[in-house]
Amino acid sequence: MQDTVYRYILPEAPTVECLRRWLAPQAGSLVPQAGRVYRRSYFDTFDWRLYRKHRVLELDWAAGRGQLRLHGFEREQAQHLLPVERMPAFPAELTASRLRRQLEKICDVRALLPVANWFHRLQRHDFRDVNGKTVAYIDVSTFHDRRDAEVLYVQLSIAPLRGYVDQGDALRRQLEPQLTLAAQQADPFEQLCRERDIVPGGYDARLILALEPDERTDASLGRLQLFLLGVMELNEAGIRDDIDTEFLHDYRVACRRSRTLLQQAMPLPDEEARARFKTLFAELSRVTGDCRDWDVFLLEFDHLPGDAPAGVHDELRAICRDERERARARLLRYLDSARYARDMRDWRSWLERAAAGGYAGEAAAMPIKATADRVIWRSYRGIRKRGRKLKPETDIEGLHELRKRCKKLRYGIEAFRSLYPAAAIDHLIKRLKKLQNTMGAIVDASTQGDLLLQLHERHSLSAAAAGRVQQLIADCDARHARCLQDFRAAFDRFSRKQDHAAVKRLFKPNRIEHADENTRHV
Amino acid sequence: MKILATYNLKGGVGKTAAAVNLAYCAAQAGRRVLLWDLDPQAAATYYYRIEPGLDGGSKTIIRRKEDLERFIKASNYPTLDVIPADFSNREMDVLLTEVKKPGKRLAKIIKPLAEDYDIVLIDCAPSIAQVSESVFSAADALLIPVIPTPLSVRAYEQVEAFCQRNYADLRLLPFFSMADRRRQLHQQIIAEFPESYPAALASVIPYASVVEQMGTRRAPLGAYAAASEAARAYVSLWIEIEQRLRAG
Repeated sequence: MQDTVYRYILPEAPTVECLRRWLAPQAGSLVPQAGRVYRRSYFDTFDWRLYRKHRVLELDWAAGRGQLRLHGFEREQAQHLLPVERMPAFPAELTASRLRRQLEKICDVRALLPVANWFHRLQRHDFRDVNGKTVAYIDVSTFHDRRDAEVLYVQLSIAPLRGYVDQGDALRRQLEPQLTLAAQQADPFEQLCRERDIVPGGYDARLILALEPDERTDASLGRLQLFLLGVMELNEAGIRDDIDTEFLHDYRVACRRSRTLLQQAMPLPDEEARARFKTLFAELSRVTGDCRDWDVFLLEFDHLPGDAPAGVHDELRAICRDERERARARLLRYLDSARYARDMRDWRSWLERAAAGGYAGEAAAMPIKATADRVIWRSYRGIRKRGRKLKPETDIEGLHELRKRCKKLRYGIEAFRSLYPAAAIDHLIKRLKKLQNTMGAIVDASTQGDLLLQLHERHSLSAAAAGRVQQLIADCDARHARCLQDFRAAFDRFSRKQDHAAVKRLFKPNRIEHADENTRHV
Repeated sequence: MKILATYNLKGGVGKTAAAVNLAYCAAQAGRRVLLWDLDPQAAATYYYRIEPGLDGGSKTIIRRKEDLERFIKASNYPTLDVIPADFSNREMDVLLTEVKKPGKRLAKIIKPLAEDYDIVLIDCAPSIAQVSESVFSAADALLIPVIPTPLSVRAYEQVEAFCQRNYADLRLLPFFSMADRRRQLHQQIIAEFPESYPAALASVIPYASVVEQMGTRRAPLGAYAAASEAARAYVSLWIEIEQRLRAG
């Protein structure tokens, strides 16, 4: 159900007499209900998807029942309500409702995690018309750290009942002039978080660091890599607790970005250390890749083409889950190893030195803009050269390689985007994304086919399940062949002349820098 | 979402009291409930202190398939909403004969509310005409109050025979209403009825003055006499209905 509500933060809780005085000109009566104490919890995804969409999800819980409410921050806002008997981990587990649909749209596959809990004392007043019909609730809410602790915030809300919007609006118009001096913000969520040193929106896996063009390369790369290391560290707990699939996704993306920057731009002065960390990221890429492939396959499992009898569907899903668990166990063993802990600790110390501008050598001292130009231009040129020659129908390895290079180019552009005009970068990323999507569809069909083949070869499937797997493999092959046909047109669109000229102007290093490049070994 | 309807061919058997009280019980049990008052007498609407009347009358709903949402009014109780009755509901039969597939019209109109409510409870007028048939098509179950008297049992038998012929999949859930255990006849019928009709619900709603007070209190029993025998009987009746619905 969706209703409109008006909310105000007040310096202190008004008494019933005060509310009655404020509302005196309105025909009707204000009837206070018994006060109630709820445990108020706020929920969001780990990456604050609700907060970023200016939404708040709150749960008021008392006596084994809860009221879930999704709303915005504005003073006047639509709210979705849903009574719940337990708080599920994922929006999809809620009762079918508009609230669930909204949450699914925003949160997608991410789990809902509690942000923090407070105590919420609610004094509800029914505003009744002359027939004794309640037309609006006037709620005075106070929020507390503990049940008997002092009041942190006072909120007044006017919630017209469904079908009584005009009456609710009349109350709002009556009350608002009395509140103008006192009312500050509409919702206490951000202030309550501040009390607990929680920063809403504090986690963001996107690499959006502002770099200075003249900054030393080692310092810039150190900062970028430290940010990525932070993302990896922040996601480790979620991977271990298996909260949702996106912890591993974010970890893996940060890992791949780090690997790309290490390979292409990081002026690490010690060759032995470089080789060691290259090995670390290659291993991480492999060990996270298996688990991620099964995650993706399971997320798409219910949407696989064709119909399968329920028994077959469940049999295959159970086997896929087992495979995923095995891959996850391998990943956890790696993350728990002493070598991983040592490598990560040492990686951090190398990065801190870099961030402080402490690397020796010409490459480390080079302005970051020059390094970024060189990295992006070289990467872009390589893709253009390979892509033009590639015949994907006969060279699937070449296609995989090209896809990896496109990813690396994308990571490079995103890491250094603050050094270039935003519009030009956005345009290039948009074109690159289209090419990546085409190649992604080809590779996804191929990966899915490989996983299905694994199922077929490793497990003794029932005849019906084996038949279903063969049908799905054939479907993957057909999809793969179809997508391959799209490649040439997608690549030609990416590398057309007028765009190429723009990329050249943007990134191609001038001759002097180019000459330097030949003497640099990074 | 489950669609239920309180129905009986016979008037004065406690349909509206059952609709009003069961809607309240369901809401108190945490369900999101919509009570649709189809009876032009508007008694259920009155009990919930809501002004009867639909903007544009029933024809806006039946002919134009207008969004039901705009007619919904919240009751005084959380998660319980009402579509008030309108005097033009008496013309619904005629209106339904003018549209294509009249039997399916109500189901079609209610369908968009599936995300908003767990239970839609329709309070029907006592008749067996096009509206009733449209309700039979839409409903998952008919809740049929039966006074433990031979005439009322006979009326139930007529409904059952009609539904068996025309709506074989429709579940009928009869229960005794306005039962006076001091009367031997009532006792005897209550004892014998389940043998002939095993689908009958075990909860019995007693004849009680506290139920009649709903008219002056303009509230469901649970709101002013929660501890009364009748209020408890409605709670137990709702629990039984939910169990039957869950059992499939």
